[in-house]
Amino acid sequence: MEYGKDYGKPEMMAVAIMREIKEGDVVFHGLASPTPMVAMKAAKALGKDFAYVTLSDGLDHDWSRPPYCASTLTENTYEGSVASFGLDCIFDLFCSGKGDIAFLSCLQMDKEGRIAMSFLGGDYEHPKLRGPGGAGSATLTPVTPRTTIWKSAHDTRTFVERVGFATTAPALDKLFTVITPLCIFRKQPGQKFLALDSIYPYTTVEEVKENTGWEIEETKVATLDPPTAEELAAIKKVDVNNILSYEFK
Amino acid sequence: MPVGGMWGSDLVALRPEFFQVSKSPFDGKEVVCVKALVPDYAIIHVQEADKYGNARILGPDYQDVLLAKAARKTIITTERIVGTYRMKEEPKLTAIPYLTVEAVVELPGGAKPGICYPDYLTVDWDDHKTYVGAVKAGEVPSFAEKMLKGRV
Repeated sequence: MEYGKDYGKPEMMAVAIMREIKEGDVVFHGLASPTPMVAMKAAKALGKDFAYVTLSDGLDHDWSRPPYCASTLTENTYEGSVASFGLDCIFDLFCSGKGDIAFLSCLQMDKEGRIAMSFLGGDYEHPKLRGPGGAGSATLTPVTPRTTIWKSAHDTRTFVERVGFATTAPALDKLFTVITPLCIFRKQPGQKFLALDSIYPYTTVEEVKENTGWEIEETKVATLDPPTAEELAAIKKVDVNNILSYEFK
Repeated sequence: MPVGGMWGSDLVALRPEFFQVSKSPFDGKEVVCVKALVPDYAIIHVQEADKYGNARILGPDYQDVLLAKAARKTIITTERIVGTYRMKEEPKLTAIPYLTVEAVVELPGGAKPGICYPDYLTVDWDDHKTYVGAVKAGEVPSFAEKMLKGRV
């Protein structure tokens, strides 16, 4: 598969998200999350067997109905569900240790994986930018075995040396993963800092370094396999309205 | 009350009036506790309610049931008033029972410009934009008047 011809950054990122999901996982994504929504529907289309929970109350909704807007709070992620299982139930489940992955995002992040979701600039009472807050991420990040942050932009405004106010931070004893349009960072259990784990076929470690606000020590890392024809077909099948492109405009 | 999660969040130190760290009386482990919120009112829009306030939520219920339990007074707005016999047929579908409800208002379209599954399924973005503008301009009462015209 050729970058720029068969696939672009949105598809590569969706595929990276899909590959994080293992058989039998209990997987959650948050509000306003078109990228993981399309990726999770595509993972279902590939036949991957996992439990899909969202804020729209539906457990294992009918993934074959294509989303028609970028919102993840419509009937599209509810219709055809096998049970009503709301956010309070999801919090209880994950706090009991029965969740596997929470796909969450951030305004900013630093090398420790500390995440700004509450505000940027100024202070809490008088911010330059008020964020959506940390109901989901502050509760779920410390208790989820494989918290996975997805962010559709990779630049030094997002990945900074030090986050001023951390809405949440990874647990020391848990794996923590960050998926960007260029690469995957991981913090292994027991480690304090994120390390560059792998890069996508169309980029270099140098490009990742240039666009990251913290120091990257790794000089040689694995390159992720490009999307397969099957993976791209699965994305196309579940996303006829190309909602995946929404975050990359 | 004690909750899971919240560890590592700067919110805990920023808001001591809402968050405190305490020791579990069972195993001595530290746990984050949050203050129980008691809203004066919960205003909840549902698909069906009877005139006594028994409310049925026929789509996602989000945290509406928790809100109704937490609030001092709950006001139900409903797409339709139905007979109490409907609740007797399927009591498990009554999400909020009458004894926690202060008032019931029949208000078709009451969740607009938002969504009320399955009656209307998409956000009305034009009205939503007008609403955001009204909030910024401090003109919510006149916006509400326009939205409610001919409906109450």
